[in-house]
Amino acid sequence: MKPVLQVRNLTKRYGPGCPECLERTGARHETNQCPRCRSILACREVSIDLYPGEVLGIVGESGSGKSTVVRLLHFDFEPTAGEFFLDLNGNGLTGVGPGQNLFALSAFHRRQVRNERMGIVYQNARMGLRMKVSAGGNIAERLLTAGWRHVGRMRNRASGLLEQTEVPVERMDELPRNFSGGMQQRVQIAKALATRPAVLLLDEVTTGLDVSVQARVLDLIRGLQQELGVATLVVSHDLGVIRLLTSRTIVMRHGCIVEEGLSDQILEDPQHPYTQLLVNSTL
Amino acid sequence: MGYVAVRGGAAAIENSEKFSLVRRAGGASGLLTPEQIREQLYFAVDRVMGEGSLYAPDLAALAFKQAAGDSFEAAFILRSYRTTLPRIGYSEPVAPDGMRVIRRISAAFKDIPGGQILGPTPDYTLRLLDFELQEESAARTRQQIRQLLRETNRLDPLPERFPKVVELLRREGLLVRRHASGKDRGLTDITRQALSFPAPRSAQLQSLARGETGGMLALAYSNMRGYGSVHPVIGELRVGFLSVPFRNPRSGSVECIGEVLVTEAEVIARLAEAEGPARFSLGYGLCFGHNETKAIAMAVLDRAMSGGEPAAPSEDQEFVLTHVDGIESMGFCNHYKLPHYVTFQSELDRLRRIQAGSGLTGEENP
Amino acid sequence: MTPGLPSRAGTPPADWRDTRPPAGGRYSYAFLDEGAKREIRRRILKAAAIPGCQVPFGSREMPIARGWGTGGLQLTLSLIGPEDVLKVIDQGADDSVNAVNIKKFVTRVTGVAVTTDTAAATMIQTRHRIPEEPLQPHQILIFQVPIPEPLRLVEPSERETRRMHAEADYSRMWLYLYEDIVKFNEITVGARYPVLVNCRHLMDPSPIPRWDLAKLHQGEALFLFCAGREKRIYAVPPHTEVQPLSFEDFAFRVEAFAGRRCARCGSGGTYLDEVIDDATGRRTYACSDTAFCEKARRSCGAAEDSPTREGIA
Repeated sequence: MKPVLQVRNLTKRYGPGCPECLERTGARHETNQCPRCRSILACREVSIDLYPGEVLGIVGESGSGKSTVVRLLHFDFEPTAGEFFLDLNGNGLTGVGPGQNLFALSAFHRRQVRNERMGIVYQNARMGLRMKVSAGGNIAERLLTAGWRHVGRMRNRASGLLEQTEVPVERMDELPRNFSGGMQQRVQIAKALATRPAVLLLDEVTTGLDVSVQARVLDLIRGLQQELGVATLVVSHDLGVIRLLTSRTIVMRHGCIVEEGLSDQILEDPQHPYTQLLVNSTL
Repeated sequence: MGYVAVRGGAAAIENSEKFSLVRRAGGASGLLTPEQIREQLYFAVDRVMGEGSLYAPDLAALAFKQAAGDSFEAAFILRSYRTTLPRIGYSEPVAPDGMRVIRRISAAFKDIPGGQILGPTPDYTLRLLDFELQEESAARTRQQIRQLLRETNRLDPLPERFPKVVELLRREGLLVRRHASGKDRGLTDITRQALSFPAPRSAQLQSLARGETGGMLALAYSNMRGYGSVHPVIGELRVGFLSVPFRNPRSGSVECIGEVLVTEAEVIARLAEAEGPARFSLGYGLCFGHNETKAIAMAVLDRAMSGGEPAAPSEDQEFVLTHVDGIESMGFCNHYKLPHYVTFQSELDRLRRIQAGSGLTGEENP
Repeated sequence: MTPGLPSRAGTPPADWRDTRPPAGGRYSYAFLDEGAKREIRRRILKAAAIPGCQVPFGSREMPIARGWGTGGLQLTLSLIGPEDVLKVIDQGADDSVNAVNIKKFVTRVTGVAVTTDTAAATMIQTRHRIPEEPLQPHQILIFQVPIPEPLRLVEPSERETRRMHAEADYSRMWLYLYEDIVKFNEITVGARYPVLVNCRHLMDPSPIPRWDLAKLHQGEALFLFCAGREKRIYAVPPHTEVQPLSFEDFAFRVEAFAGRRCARCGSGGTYLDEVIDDATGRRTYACSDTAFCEKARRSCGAAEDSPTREGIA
């Protein structure tokens, strides 16, 4: 089976950089900052394969680089190095050939890929939603970018998605800033699914929510996952989330991957000392 | 069928001009001459030159007379005149430390090489309305001036050059070094091309140098009060005459073709954030004529805009440079007096429809 | 030689004060110098080559204020020649104060003939309206534009709107219209309605009413737009696609006059001004395009001694 998403040697450096950056940072050196030039390697030479229908977890503490990876894939900012491939499965977008490194695309095509093949949910709803635009409008924005021009049909799709994500449809025309945290996350999920993406990116989506609300959102995600089968990347520092949602996991520390494997195995029998530390310190 | 409409536009304009003439010159008082304005209302003339972006004190005085004291209008008239003048060339760069100084102070140090020279400034006067000026007699005042000049002790002449205070800081390694890179290397002429952002430093300084004093003051003030973080200390403020060097197109040699009165402010601001050791940063202001408020505001804004992410409007280069030009802002503000009834009719149509509710069905609602 | 300030030996001779323009104060033909005209013409060519795309230019200050038509004026002055016949209108009227003022200036610096007859003009400078009479291939219509950026409604930063145009990223404008429909069941944008030109660039048609937008689409004449203060030129050449943004189920709609007719000429197919009678408070309606109205009245044999006829050429 071919992966739906492939990342090769993804690197993001903040700072001027020097020839020693890569050698002197990483898990082995217990730091992601180059001692010589003070540059930060937020992630270094990360490679990932994500298979159709799979839910892959990326776990690590803050500063590990896990969010950086996901945001780079969402084209939120530019990588320093690396390649990124999506299997567009013949549903090619004009101008994007198969085997095309997406980081090399023009801004216009990147936006198109992002809008029509990816969906993202951020920890902070302010990053994923326009707070001054109605919940339905937030969803409609992605449809509009994809070329939809029928208000009625857009509203139908939006209300369908809101129903699926358990947001009361009668609140569709309200501003999300009036919603609770949990509901804002659910609107984000609806928005992420609007264009039937090939890949879903979840960046710490339940961090900061009340425990009971967390549980509900996670249940929702699990249900949607089972129903829609969208390949998903789940970023979290919370092993409970990883255990609940993912089949395979990558462990990151100081910008590197230190361990990867089936989620069950990683949680039952961690090999890397850091993973062991993580698993053992779970409350 | 009564139809009343606005007619007779040409006649209205003519009458308006007559009305203005009567307002300006129909009173009992003697008519002002441009000389009087130039000599006695010198701050106004300097402001008009600076904002009109043309060093021409006589013409600025004339414009001020023509505009009956409206400095926006006067600057506009001067700018408009500037458009008609042939462009001969650019001067050579000038080192401002060669300025023929009439005023020079520093707030950063108590004593500076060359001394603190107060010069002609109203800074320390008591702002008490002087009723004696109502009946000022020309003869008596001139006699007073002659007397003063006789009584004043002759001092040694001022030195030809005053070293720059900031130069002392620079030599000690306390000032951040400014690197000119990319677009900053060349000279952008904002009168020949539209600004695009981020704008190179030469465009930034030009825009500020011809900016409207009040607008720039408000923005700089906002920064000083806390919507921003410049916290300025005046390293040096100078008012004086700068030579204008120009390359003779025939002989190729550089000659001085005249002098311009300018105000220059160098503002030392708090530590620059950046790589490398901590240093002070500098803001620079320069404008035509004697206009200290504008020079200081310009220096503060120059510094404010050179940081990273803007946290306040005064730090946002696009915001500041788009809104400091007095001719543009005044023109646009006043253009709202032009008839807008066609567009208003369009808005009325929209509102009436909305208030009427959705009268139509079918095509609107799926 | 400023009094009160110390002077220096070697000051220039007294006649440096004579800073009036040479040769009896004559300006160059059409006020602008030839360099300015050349630059503006080149920008016009570029604008016409990329329909609807805003081209920056070094806008010159004019003797009329920014915001009052300096952009339109610069285009007119760059293109006009002694053989041209000029018409200037504001809100559709030839004799509004602003139009008269502009005409005065242009004739003073060019000596060209002026007209109020749309068909007789070779060049028409307009503020906020397109004449009702269809334009011909040899005619140029020059629009005065206050704000050239259609995306200003959703984004204040020039830097960002430039990027949006470069990437054809207009979703936020569509979103704005969608939210309008959600809130009001209508698109509330009145004039300055955004249009897509040549299926590529989003353009601000200047504050003309929606009524006039259809005239831009597949027109015969050259449409030129200029914002003097904002320093942008753009163009819609003849036979260009110009489509107002519209949803399939919420179609673009023009202003409605509910079947009203012009009180002066009886026409039912023109954009009307609403006039409130001083004395009675009653509303009457009359053609905004005064020249068109006058032509229609004459061809209908309307009364010669109507008191409202004066002032029309």
